[in-house]
Formats: sequence, C-alpha cells, structure tokens
Amino acid sequence: MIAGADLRAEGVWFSYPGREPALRGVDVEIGAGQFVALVGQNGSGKTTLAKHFNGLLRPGRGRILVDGQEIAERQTADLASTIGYCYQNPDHQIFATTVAEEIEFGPRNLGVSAEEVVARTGRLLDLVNLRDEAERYPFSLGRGQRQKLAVASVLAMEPRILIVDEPTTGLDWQGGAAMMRLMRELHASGRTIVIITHDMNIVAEFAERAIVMAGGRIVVDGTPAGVFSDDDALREADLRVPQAFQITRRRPDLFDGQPLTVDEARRALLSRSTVAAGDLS
Amino acid sequence: MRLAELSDVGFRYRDTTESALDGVSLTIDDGEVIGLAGPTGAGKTTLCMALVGLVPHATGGVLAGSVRIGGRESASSSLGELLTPLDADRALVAVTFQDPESQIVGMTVEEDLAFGAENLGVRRDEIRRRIDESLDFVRLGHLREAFPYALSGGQKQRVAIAAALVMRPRLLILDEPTSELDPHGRAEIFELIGRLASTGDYAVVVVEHALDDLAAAVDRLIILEAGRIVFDDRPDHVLRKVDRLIEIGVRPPDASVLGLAAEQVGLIAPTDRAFVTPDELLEAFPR
Repeated sequence: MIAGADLRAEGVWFSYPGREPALRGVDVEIGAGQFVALVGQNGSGKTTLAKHFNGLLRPGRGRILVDGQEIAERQTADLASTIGYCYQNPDHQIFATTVAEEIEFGPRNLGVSAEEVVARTGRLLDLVNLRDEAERYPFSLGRGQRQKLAVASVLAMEPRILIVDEPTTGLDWQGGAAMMRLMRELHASGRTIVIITHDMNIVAEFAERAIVMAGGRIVVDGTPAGVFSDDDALREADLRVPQAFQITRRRPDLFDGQPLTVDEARRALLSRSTVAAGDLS
Repeated sequence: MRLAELSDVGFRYRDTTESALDGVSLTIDDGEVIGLAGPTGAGKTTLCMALVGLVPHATGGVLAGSVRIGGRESASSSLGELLTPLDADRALVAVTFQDPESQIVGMTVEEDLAFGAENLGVRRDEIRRRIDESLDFVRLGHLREAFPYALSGGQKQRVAIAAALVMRPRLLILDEPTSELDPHGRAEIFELIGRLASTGDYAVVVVEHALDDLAAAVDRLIILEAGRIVFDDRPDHVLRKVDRLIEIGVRPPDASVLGLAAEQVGLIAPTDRAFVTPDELLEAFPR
C-alpha cells in the first residue's frame, strides 16, 4: 500500500445497465502528488474508472476510497473540493454566459465568501491566460481556450486531486503542449494529476506513471519506460509506443540507452559527435 | 484530369480583418493523394470549404483570385452549377467532417448511405449495388441495418466515408477524420485511406494535425501557416524541414527528427530525403 494514498480502488466491478461489465475487478492505488496517465482504447474502462473516483459512478462490487475513507460516506460538496473532474468535451460542462462567471460558479456554490471567489477567479484567469477574455461568452472562445476554462472552473474549487479526461483531444500540437504545461504547473504546486489520454507522446513526456487498461482490467501499471517495454500488455491494449521509443529501444547502442522522448533521443544522438571529436583528439 | 485549380486565392470571413487564406495556389489532379496539415487557424478547413464551393457560397466573405473546380470558376457560378457532376453518375466532390455525427441523415446505416446518391439521381438498383460495395470497402457490411448514432466513433467516421463513396466523387475530402478517435479507430481510418489511394479512382485530400500517420499515407504533403502554403511537396522532402515545421507548430515524425540528427553526426550517409517511419530509419542505421 502507498503511504498517504489519495485514491484507491479495491476489487471494483461495474456494469452499465444491460451491458457487459465495463470494469472487471480493478485494484489500484494512486498516491498523493503523483502524475498518472490512464491509457487504453475507447471502451477499455478508463473513463468509467475515473468517474468512480469522483463519485459520479458507484461500484457494483468492491469499493472506492478517497484519503482512506469510503467514497459513499463523503458529502458531494466535500468531494468536489477534494477531487476535480474535467470532462473530455469542455462544452459538456460550460454553461455560464461569461468566462469569469463560469469560474465563479463552483466556489460560490460551495459557500466560499464573495471576496475569496473574486480572488480565486483572478488568480485562475491569470493561470490559464484568459484574463483578457473574462467578460467574453465562453462559446466564442477557441477549443483550446474552452478546455482551459473548463480546467479553471474545476480548479476554482481548489481540489487536491485533478482528473482530466483527454486534455489535448481536439487541440493542435501547440495547444496540447500549452495544456500539458498547465498540468505540469498544477502538479508542481502539489496536486495529484490523473489524465486520461490516447497520446503516447504525452505519456512519455509528462507522466510519472502509466496505467494501461483493456477490457475493463488494468493490464500493466508502471513507469512509462516500463509500460512501453511490455509488448504483451501493449498488444492486448492495441497501443503503439511513441516513434522515438520504437527507435531507441531497438538500438540502445546508438542512443546511450533507451530515451523515451524525441528530444532526449535527439540530444543523445547529437552528443555522439562530442564523443567522436573527443576520440580524435 | 485537373479537378481543382487555385490561383493566388485570398479569403476573408465576414466581419474579420485577417485573411483565412492568403496567396494560395495549387492544383489537384485525378488520383492524387494529398495530406493537408497545419496548426489550428492555419486555414485547413477554409481551404477544404473553398474546394467544395462552400467558401464563399455558403459562408459569405471576400474571395480574391481564382478557384476553379472541375474547370468551372467558383466566383461566377452558383453552388449548384459549380458542383454539377461532370460524369452522369459521379459526384465532383464529396467531403466528410471532423464530427461524423453532424452529417448522419438516415435512421439506418443503409438509409444514410443512400441519401447522397439519391440526390445525384442515381438509379435504385445502382444505389443498392454501390451501398454493398461501399460497406464492404469500409468493412461495415454487418452493420447495414444499425442505428448510426449507436456506432463507435470510428464506425461513424467510416459510415461517413462510405456515404461519400456511394456518390463516387472524383475528389474526396476528409477533414480531420481521426481527431475524435482512439488509436484503434485512427488505425482503421488510415488503413482505409491506404486502400482508397491504391484504387487510383479518387483524388483524396486528408486533413490532419499530426504528421506521423499522414506522411506515411500520402504522395504529397501541403503545410499551411496563417492562410499561406509553406510547403507543397513529397512528404519525404517536406519532412527534411524539421526546424521550420516545429516553428510552424506541426510536430514532425520522430523518425524524421532523429534521421536528420543521425546524419548530422555522421551516423548515416547524408541523403536528400527524410525518414518517415521508424522502420525506415532503423533500416538505415549501421549494423
């Protein structure tokens, strides 16, 4: 058991009405302050598991614990200020008529003082770079900005744990990178981050831990490097590792090991010239 | 034959000051398989809409330069005239969009597929034959009677492509067909694009953010930045320009980046082409 585990699933089974089980006995612990990527194909159970952690779904069998306490015993408001959940499609959660109101809604609902709500909203507008858009209609923003607004409105309740379903889907490379830099900042400020993603480059670059799901089960759980090396599990989950790792894994002799990301692999290659030059002198 | 010809095309949407397209010139001929990439806002969708006449005919806005589709000048034709088929039973252009649900019109997959061809005035028995063929082609024959909304994202996207194929378009435009899909659905779509390309029956334009799969699937790659064409060349030529692509905001395949670095340090012999897939690069490394 991880000391200070934030989230724990114990033998969790779940079926949507009239369907095959979506979760088939999931056991997992996510410790405080981890940066976790939950990966797998659609229908593998990732989102279903994530929705158990914020109490949107209740297990058919097994139990979910948040800070060691069974989730069924916790008040919704209390849970909302512990765990924030961002939907895959930001438009499913945006409803206010201005950007600022969207952010203010959550904390105001939790009974946070008006003064504090204003202060938080100001900080969050800066954090997600939407200060100039505060009075705009949310749906007039671009997809990347709406995604950030959705995250900001969840952060306004100051959750310690943030679960974000596909933070980069629908964004281009730069938009996705900006979103992930925000995730990294939030992690650095002490939060537990759980992202659900299909993008293995993001797993390689940002996550400390990858949990791979297939058919309602966890098929492998470990560091990105460890998970990317587990061919059987990846085959079962039908996932492809990033191109850079496909290359470095086959030729560790050329890359001074098996770097995970393209930037690391490129640096490893370029440092060879220094070695070669050194050999000549 | 020449399906589309754009000469120095500029376009501004209504009530905007920035050009969505700026000095765009290109030609598209029968059977070409073209990838179109660029960051959000670069003009990819606007260019696609100009290729079907929706820009400017449905959007309004200011079009400059010349857009010719199937030999007809867009600005001086109505949308109906512009898209009138050149052949008796083949549409000139068909397009599928990012969100396949937005274009589902039937209550069953079969009905959905019949719609476009019925509008073209294709005979009943011919429509039935084409539906069979198109469903086989996208490997959804078993879902003929299914309710389209109940399908998976990848299946919906394949239904949208099958619905376009039923019209036998000379030019098929797929606007971000994989952006909402999981890796499995993505792989299915790229496998399908590969088979479409090998038929030689269609010119295909595929719009994508990510170059990894796209570059390996097309013969020609166009990169847009702020409404302008920056590159229009073979993928293995375009992908040599790693630093410029990164600057534009398009992530080059890792194989291209690492291939160039391997050349720089003398690990592999210099060439004039980029590596597109990991296997190509691994093959080139010294034993």
